[in-house]
Amino acid sequence: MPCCLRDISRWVSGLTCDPKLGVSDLALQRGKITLGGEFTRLYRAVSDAELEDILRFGIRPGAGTMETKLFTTSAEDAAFFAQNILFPLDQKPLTIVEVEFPDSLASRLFHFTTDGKTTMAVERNLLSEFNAAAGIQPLHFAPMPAS
Amino acid sequence: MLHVTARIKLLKTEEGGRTSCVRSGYRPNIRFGDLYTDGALTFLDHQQVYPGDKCEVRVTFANPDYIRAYLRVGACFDITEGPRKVGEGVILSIPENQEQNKMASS
Repeated sequence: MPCCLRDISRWVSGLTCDPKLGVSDLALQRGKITLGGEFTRLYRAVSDAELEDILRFGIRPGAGTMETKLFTTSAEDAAFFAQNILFPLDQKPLTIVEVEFPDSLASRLFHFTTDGKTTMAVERNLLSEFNAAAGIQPLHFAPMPAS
Repeated sequence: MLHVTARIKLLKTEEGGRTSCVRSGYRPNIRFGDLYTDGALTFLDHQQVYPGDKCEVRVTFANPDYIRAYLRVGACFDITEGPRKVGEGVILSIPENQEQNKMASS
């Protein structure tokens, strides 16, 4: 079954490697959650439809879906969910988006462990503030999933 | 992947549950004890379910090994969205052939 992000990346332009990115740039983009810095980066694997919605409206609950939005603390963990949870269920291409926002907001998010990975939850009542403060961009590379 | 059938109840909004209905295919967190995993809920007799409703569902676990110790008929679980419990359920059946196939492949 073609379930790894490397395979998925062939179908989504946002996941193809950007030749302009050097190793150091990749390392910066792949930074884990920043503690004590100014910004926190979180990651989420999304479908094409959700990516389009996020780029137009920000992160918001879809009708009949989770009202709380979940993120991982590394691109590799987002790739883990893409490969092991989302793609097996949907068989649809996925893109990982990176969300950067002030640490002051990050301290108000609930974190817990899902399927062995640290997960941050943005509850519905924080989403508007989250969207106002966050910079959101699809990643232009496909990280190897965390084991 | 592992499919089980379960009976679930969504909490009412005033009990801390969701503010809106969920559609078949809903992907909440499923909590067994202290372990959270992702599950997909397919409603067997509804297209959408409202806070306070009960129904039977098929739960698909994409990573069943993570919560394997809890997977037995009669096991209770919580349906959560991150920290917030929005419902609860109990496993009604686990098709045997899935378990045999899983064991044969592992």
